[in-house]
Amino acid sequence: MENVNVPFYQNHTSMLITMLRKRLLLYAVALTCSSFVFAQQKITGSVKDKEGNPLKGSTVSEKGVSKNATKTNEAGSFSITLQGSSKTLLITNVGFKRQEVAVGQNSSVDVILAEDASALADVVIVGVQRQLRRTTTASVTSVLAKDIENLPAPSVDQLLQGRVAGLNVQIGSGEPGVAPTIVVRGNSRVNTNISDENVAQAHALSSPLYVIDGVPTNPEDISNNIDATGTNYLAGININDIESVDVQKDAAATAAWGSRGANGVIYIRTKRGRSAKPEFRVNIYGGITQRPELLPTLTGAAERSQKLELINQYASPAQLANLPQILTDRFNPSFNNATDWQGLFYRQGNVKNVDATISAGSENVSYRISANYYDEKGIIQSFGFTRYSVRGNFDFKISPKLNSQFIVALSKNDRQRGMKYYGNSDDNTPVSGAGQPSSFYRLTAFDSSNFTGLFSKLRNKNVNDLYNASLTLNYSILPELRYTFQGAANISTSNRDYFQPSNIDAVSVANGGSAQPSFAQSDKGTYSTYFLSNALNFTKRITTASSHVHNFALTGSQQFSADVSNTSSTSGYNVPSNNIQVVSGIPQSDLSGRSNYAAAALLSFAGQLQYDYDGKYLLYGSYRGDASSRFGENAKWGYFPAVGAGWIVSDEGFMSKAKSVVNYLKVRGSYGISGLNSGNFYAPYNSYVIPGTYNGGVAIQPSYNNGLTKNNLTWTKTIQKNIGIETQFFNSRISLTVDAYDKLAKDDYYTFELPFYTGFQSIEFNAHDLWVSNRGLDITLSTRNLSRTSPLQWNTQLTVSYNKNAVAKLPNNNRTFVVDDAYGASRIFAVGQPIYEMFQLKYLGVYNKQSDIPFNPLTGNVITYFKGNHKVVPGDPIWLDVNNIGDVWPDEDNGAQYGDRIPTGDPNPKFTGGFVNDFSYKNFSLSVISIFTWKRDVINTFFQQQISHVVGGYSSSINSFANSRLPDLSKLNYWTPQKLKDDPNYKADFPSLNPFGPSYYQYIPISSQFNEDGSYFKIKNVVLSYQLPRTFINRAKLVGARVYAIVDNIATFKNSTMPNPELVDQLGNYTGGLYPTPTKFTLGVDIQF
Amino acid sequence: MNKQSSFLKLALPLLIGVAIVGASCKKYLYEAPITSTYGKEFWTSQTSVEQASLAMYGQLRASLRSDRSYFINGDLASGMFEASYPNWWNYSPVSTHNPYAGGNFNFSYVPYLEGSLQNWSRFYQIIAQANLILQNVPQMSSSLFTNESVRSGYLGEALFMRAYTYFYITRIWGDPVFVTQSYNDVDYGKIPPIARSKESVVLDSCIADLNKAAGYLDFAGGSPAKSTRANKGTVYALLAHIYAWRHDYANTHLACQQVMNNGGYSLEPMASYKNLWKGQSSNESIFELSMTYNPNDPNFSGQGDWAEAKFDFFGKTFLKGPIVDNVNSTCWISLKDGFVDQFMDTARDARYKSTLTYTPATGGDKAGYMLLKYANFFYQKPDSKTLPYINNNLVLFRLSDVVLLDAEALASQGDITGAKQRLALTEGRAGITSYQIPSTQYDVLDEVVIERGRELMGEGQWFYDLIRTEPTQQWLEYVGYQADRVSPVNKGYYWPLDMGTLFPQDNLLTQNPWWATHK
Repeated sequence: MENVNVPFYQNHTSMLITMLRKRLLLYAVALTCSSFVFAQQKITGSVKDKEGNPLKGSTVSEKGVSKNATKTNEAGSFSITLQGSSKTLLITNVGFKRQEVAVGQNSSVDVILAEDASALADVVIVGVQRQLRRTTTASVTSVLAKDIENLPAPSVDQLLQGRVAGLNVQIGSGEPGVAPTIVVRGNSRVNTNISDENVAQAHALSSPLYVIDGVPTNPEDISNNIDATGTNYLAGININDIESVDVQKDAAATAAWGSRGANGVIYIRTKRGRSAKPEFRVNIYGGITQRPELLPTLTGAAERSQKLELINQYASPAQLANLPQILTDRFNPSFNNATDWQGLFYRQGNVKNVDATISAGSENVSYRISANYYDEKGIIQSFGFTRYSVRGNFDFKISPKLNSQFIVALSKNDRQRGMKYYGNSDDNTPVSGAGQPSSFYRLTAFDSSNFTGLFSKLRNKNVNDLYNASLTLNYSILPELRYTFQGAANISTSNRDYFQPSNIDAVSVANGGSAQPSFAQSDKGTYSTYFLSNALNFTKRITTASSHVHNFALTGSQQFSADVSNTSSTSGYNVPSNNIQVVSGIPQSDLSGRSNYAAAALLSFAGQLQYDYDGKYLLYGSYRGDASSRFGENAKWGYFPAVGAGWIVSDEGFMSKAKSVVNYLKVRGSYGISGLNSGNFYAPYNSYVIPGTYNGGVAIQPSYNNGLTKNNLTWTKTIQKNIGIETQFFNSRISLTVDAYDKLAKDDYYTFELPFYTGFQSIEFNAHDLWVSNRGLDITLSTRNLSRTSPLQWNTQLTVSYNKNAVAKLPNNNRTFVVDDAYGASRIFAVGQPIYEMFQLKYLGVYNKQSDIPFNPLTGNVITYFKGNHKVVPGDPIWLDVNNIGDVWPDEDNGAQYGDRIPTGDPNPKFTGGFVNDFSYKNFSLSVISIFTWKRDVINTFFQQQISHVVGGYSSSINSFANSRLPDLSKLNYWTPQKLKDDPNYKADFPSLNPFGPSYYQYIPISSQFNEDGSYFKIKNVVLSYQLPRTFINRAKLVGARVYAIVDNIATFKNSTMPNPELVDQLGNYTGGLYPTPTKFTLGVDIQF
Repeated sequence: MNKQSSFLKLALPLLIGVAIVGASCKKYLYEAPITSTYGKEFWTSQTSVEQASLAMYGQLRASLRSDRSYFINGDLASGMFEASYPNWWNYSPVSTHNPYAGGNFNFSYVPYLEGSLQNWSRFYQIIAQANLILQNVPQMSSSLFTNESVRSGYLGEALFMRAYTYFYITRIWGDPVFVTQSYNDVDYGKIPPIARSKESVVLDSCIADLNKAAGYLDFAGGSPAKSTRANKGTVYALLAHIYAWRHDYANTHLACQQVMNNGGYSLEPMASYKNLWKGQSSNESIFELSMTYNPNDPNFSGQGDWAEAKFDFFGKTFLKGPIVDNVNSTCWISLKDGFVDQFMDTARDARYKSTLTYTPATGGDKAGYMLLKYANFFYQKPDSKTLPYINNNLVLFRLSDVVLLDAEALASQGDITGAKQRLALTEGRAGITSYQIPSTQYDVLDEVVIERGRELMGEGQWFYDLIRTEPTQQWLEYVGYQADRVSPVNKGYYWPLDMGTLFPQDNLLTQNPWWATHK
């Protein structure tokens, strides 16, 4: 009676797998009716969960005898009379693992059902089709609620780090509410506007599509249109409401999503009511976030003596006689202080979270209602994040043929972000990063109130609200044919009110800066997405005469979504009083205001076909057409096909002997095309602008940057091939999944610089010659390290993602080009090189003595830098003379053949992953979650800027040296004339740090001197939890109780001087102003009543 | 059977529903912006054509003002003024007393000014705008216009502006890249490169366009109110200049005659001479760009490229000291013992008294003469003396310019008496009589060049006069250019192109002959 798998195929389109399981079991029992009658044996017993709670409503049936089944009562007890010969009971309950119990001659059986967390994970949703994980040909990895619940983070995306092979999550800022960067299988976006820091941070990398309970949501579209606050969209979702997160990676999974599927799809499902008995649950945690360790800095006398020491090393007598007053006048009360500027802003923060949940599940209605409060006080003054959210998930079974789901979610988040004005810039403190002044300056009470107390007058309110509602109807027209309708509305608002009082920075005024006028701004934005979907799903099972089985599932769907964005902004300088903190009373000439409206729509049709033969040979095909309003009228439609095939080898007869070793082996492959919608709602329209007036008359002209029509603007295409192997060994104790992929993105939107004779400057259009290749491996290895019977359980999961990123083709006949980023480091875009590869002079150490310096082969003189402008002397950095002409320079204007810059570093990590260990022993469980990034280059821009202040970057000045904070140079073995004199064989680790110069740009990121190894291994979380003993719970009249302690962000192991090499921007710049990731200690309790 | 019918009962409305939703979705797929106008919607009214036309003038104004290039190209390069070091250190290589190595009038060393002096891109915006008007306006329904002559008037303005721009490019960089089409709906990654066209070919086309424009436009009757836009008088003034540039003096004379006899202009009396630059205030003005203060100008406080009144363009170029409340201590000075002392009768010439003032050496400037043509200076906020602006227009063509062109044309054709008659008009107004002295054709032409310098000093003209008359008069050598640089082959009076920026955009572009070996 091979009926274990059968019911899946017949009912697998059911919306609720939990209900499905329950129903199909009954069906299975019915099918396996036996006409034989055996001696009767009465069995009584009870069914409980592993905490000892009685499980009411569990189905107890006799194996092999249809219709002989009963249900447990309130106390979990049952009674059944056996009629068949199997003498085996089948016990099932929603959300628990099905269990078979051989009763033998016993008359009483007590059964403990294990919770089945993987029940949901057994199904993945691809497009609008449900697929069984076992028979899907797609590459999908899931993260389940138990892996991420209660971890102290504002948004779920951060918690996916290290959990999913192929997903690279980097948390570049510890600021609460800021989105991490998420890239699925390598970056495919080539952004040439990286000289704008904000553009680089928001749009340098390709980000995936999110689908939340069936509704496609594009956070990038939302933030592009209404980003008043810069807050992560996903921070509006309570992590403890999330049931599972599926990361869909290959074309078989993503092509069915069409628009934006090209960059991967992240499918988030929220929790539903499951427990038979109404359950009330309160979960509270709270803790502290540790003030970060500040960078070592010298203050006061220590700073003065170090600075003078440095000066003494290099200065000539004339230079010594002419030092800036701030250094020499140590009795001047303005200059004899020891102000630690960084200490002004950092503090210990805290985090609090409260969840309250009511849920229940029954035959006809199930529900789950949750409320959440999350509050994080930042580790920098005036930073923080607060969320209030409510979510209700309701399931109704209206008739045997009709059921419905309704989801409603509301959330408000309120983010404090210091004086940050736009986007997620680096200005976390008023004197940020490398730009901090010398400690000599006196911090007056006025300055102090301006800096630390600025928050009493500064107003920076960033509120995001989310309102989501979704209704789904399923109607079984025929047993094989089901119609599904889904309608949803997601409304997201972003409101920012900002006020900056006048004259906030007295130090800059004292240093000759001018007083700042006060400034007030109010930005409001609403982004609404409306989504409608109609789907018909036909499933058919055909059993042939030779008892082979053909299973078909055919889904046809139509979807429509509309996005509408509305924004307004008013702002002005010179608010009459610092007590008025809104846009009011501002002089007309200083006032500005505008509003904006944008709407876009997407219409899609998709067909998906799954077929399998005996559940062993798997085929899949999908075809999707999308029409987007964001494309030109000649090219609105894009078509995205995908095919997949799979073979479950372990089900073959010839494998039966190997079953004890390899109990599961599946091979699958897929090929397909997915697309990317334009980020610009009105991309095809040439916009006309009002540049101003001529003789009083208004003039209108096409925009120089988007002034030409683009009726042929269309979808980008990503072609992806994937081969995967899924294996399980030794009765599933070891499972290993390996996927190899080759992803080629084409026709991406690219800002073409137009030739001057067109009269226009630039235009964004499909670059038919811009191809980006990402190839790699996704590896997941899970092991159960101890035997199933051991009281101590230890499970390990290792995920490794390998990605090789390269530009495969470039516009203008593969013309290589170089763009400088916001910090002055050049990035080369060349065929075969990774995107954003650093392009610098190669730094090779220090010329310690004259005899080390080579000669120019033509002139016989010592080599020079910058076309002869700087003659190399001892103490200078060694820069590789690539073209071997006796001169080294970067060459900015004469074409690469003359310069000496070479590719010097790849900011795209080659390997990322995670290492997770879960231990459980009796009532205790312990999880240790580690993540790693390996083979990544970053630039320590922070250190470079500090050094720049000492010796001059673009120009050297003893005054900038005197006025700026001195980095700790005590551990730096820098070259000085004296050290050479003392020891002729002396070897310096760092070039000369002469504050008197000369500066020939040696300390700007022109060379690879400040590049560092960006690899790290981080113990991210340790979670210890303890299930309170049954006896205590019963005495307290509770249903369950658990306490847990979590340490977040414990330790980082690295091979670089930066405190945390993960804190770099999207292009791999470590700037020191990025918000540190704090260590959090939390304690929590989870109680069920 | 029963199942089948219930299936149909359900499926049919469903399919209809899907069809309806699908159809109504269609219109959303053609969602167009309401926040800005765009091509298809724009060219549907006369008002739009008016706004598009005004954009050409605004673009020309911004292009000529860019880095003061109008005065650098027309005046500074002639040595008539000197931009003093150190405040004008990057302008200094252009003027005679160059403190840097590399020779006088070093056009290739102008740090931070490459974008305006060695790059003609901004002028192609005007050309593109004119091309857009010339392409769209004829396709519009005639019912959209008051009458057909209004429509053709717009076409005439666009033809004029395109010709003016190409002529301007030609006088500074030589052979232009010649484009008369619009770029819409092409593969923007693969726009074919275009080589430079011969100056003569481009000017032929400009002349043809201007003759067409003359048919489309009317004379303005000398009305100052109409001097900020193109009209038939403007068209003939430009034709006179183009013909003279090509040394086609017969046609120059004919075009000048059109302006002088039919334009309705009259010379401004000396008493009100400075009305010429006051803005739409003189009957002498043929074409001027509006730059006076407009209280409704949204660009004024930001002083962007499109601001109507800009302080920098006139103020920081020519004025200093008490005139502008010491806002700037240095300015462009016509040096002592230079043009003024050599060629101007400072005792008699009324123009000297009204538009020049001697200033001793101050603040890094050498001693010399400060130009007061554009001194109509105000503060927007007089109480705080903030937001200074110059309330002047920039005069591009005026009657005395055309009169003197006619003098040049007549003299070149041997009509010395006629030429002297023309010279007498401007010299007489200024109270001098030096035109009476010369007797040979060569000397009369010299007198024309000098008189043009006196009359049009600081109006962005004289350097082109020197280039134009170079074959016979050799003034370029006189003001300091090496002979082989300005030879007919080398044409080193043209500016070099910033090939580093422009060549990647156009692989067929070539450098100007002199600079191909001297940049």
